[in-house]
Amino acid sequence: MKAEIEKYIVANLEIDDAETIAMLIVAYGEALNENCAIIEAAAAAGDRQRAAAAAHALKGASANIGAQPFYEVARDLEKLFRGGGDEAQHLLQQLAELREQFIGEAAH
Amino acid sequence: MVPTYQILAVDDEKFTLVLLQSCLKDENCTLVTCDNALDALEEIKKRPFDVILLDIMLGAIDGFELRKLIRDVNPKLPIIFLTSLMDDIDSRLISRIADDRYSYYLNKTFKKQQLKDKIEHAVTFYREEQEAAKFYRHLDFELGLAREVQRVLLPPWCSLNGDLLSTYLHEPCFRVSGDVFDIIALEDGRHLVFLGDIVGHGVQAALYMSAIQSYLKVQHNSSSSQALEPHEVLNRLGVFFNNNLRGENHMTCLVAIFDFRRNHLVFQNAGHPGIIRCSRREGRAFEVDAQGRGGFPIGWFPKKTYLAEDNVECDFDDDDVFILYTDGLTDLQNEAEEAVDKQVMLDLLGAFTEQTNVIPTPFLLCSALEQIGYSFPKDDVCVAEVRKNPECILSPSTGDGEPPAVMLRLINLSTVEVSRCVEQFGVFVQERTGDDELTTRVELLLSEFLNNVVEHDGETHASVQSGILVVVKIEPPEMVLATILDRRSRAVEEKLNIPENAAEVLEQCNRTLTSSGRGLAIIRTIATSIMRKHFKGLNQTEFVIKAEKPWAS
Repeated sequence: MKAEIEKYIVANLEIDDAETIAMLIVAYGEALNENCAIIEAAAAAGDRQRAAAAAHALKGASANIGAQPFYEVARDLEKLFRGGGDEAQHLLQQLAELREQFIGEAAH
Repeated sequence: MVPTYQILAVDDEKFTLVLLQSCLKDENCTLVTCDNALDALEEIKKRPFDVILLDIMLGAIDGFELRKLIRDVNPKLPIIFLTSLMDDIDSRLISRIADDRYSYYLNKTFKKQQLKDKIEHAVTFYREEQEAAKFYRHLDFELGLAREVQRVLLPPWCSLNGDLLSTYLHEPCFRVSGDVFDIIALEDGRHLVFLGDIVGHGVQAALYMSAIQSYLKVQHNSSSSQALEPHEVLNRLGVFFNNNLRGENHMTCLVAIFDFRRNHLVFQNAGHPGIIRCSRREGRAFEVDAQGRGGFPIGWFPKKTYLAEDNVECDFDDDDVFILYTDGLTDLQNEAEEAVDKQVMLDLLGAFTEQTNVIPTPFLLCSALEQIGYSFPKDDVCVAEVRKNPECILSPSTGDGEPPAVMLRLINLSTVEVSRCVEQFGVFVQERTGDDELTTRVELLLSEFLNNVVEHDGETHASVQSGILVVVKIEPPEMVLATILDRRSRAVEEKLNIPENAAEVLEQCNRTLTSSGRGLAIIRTIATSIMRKHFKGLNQTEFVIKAEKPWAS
């Protein structure tokens, strides 16, 4: 996933220096962690509005950087929290797995 | 991006701000970032930005609310909404963005080139609009200045010169006019009246107008006007037009020379609408028969000359009124886009001949046309009346030697001028009525009213349009009519709160009495009736002052 993001940054955002790319991946990782934490906590507390807002923020950041899998899960979560559905568990699980994968790749 | 842009990015997601900084770091722009609406507003108040990149879901104050606050500071500052909300294809969102002419949208999945293009487009449009607005402000200022120059070149709205009385209305279609009007007193006691209409509108026509108006003044000062005839004036103007103005335009015009000692008119028409004569004796208005003479406008045929045999001559009565006009008058349109029917105009003017008071016919005519719907000008309008000064008309009923029962004075706005004028009117009323008490009341009324005008209106009447025409008429056996014609703006009138009818006058006098005890309160106690009328920027105030007892006529 990290490789796709790097490719996206070079191709679409025309940023080709490694240092900036690395900085952006770190910043995205921070936004990811922050928003995931909010989504999980808000979902557990039944605060759907806060969970939707964090999912929206994650969706935007992911769209910015071309993190397509995160973008899709965040989009579905936002929709779900705003719409009133209760199948969040599956999507939250999916988000946690993607996040783990990203952190693993980012560490190398 | 070649020019330096000042950009403000507002997003509560810090990652988006970091990304924008990385994206635009090598571009020729300065990027300031804020993660909340209030900080953003502070930044906007602190320094000028060319464009705002704004998130919609900002937290407590969302992007649309922030836009509203930004619009209070700068109504046209371009705002590019950067959002991923569009994923839900919400047409309400699109229409909310499009509600504002200076708002744009860019999805957060943007490519750098798209971002640059969007910024470039928004800023270019903004800057072009700013430049255009600046240009229009400058143009507006210059047009205003040009209009003032025109006013200075034109004669006062009313001329009272020996045996001539003339008023005219000069209304540009847009700010400045290509219509030329002037009255020149010739050395031999006659009066030359010139009315011209430059082809075209706006600045170029106004420049020609100014040149010709100046030329007329120079000619008047530099050459002999003894035995001057209309065709000679046209030939001189033709030479000036072709040599000095390069002959690239043309002008219709009418040159008329009035001799009020002989009640004789001679004129020549160069492609211009004819002269209308309003005859009280015949109770009608009609166009003076030009006998098929006259012809081509000045500038059409540079080598042709105007001939003496094409001058038209006619005699007239003492109380005839002559109307000269440019075709802008007959081009006035109503809502159905119908132009003024000439017969309608003649009928209106014919009806005015029944009026016995001195009337500023051009203002009355245009006001009447407006009232029947002709209120959409398609061209510059200039209408002038020329008549014999009523002071110089001896009463037909009493025969030769009887002094006229009317006195006219055109005064400038100064207290000295008012005092002098009031004194003259006092002498006039005293001589005609022998009533000292009535004389004092007339003097007091005129003094109060005119000084009021001077006091309140002195500053706004710095231009040559400022003269006030005062007419006092003796109506035996017990009445004096005082008519005051001025061109004060209605805005000034409203500030002064001058009422329209007697009941309002009374009411206002009661209020005034409690505060000052002067001014209108005095006027009200003197005048039996007060009537105010407004005709196209001209105010007519009529006072009737009645003697305690009839005087011996």
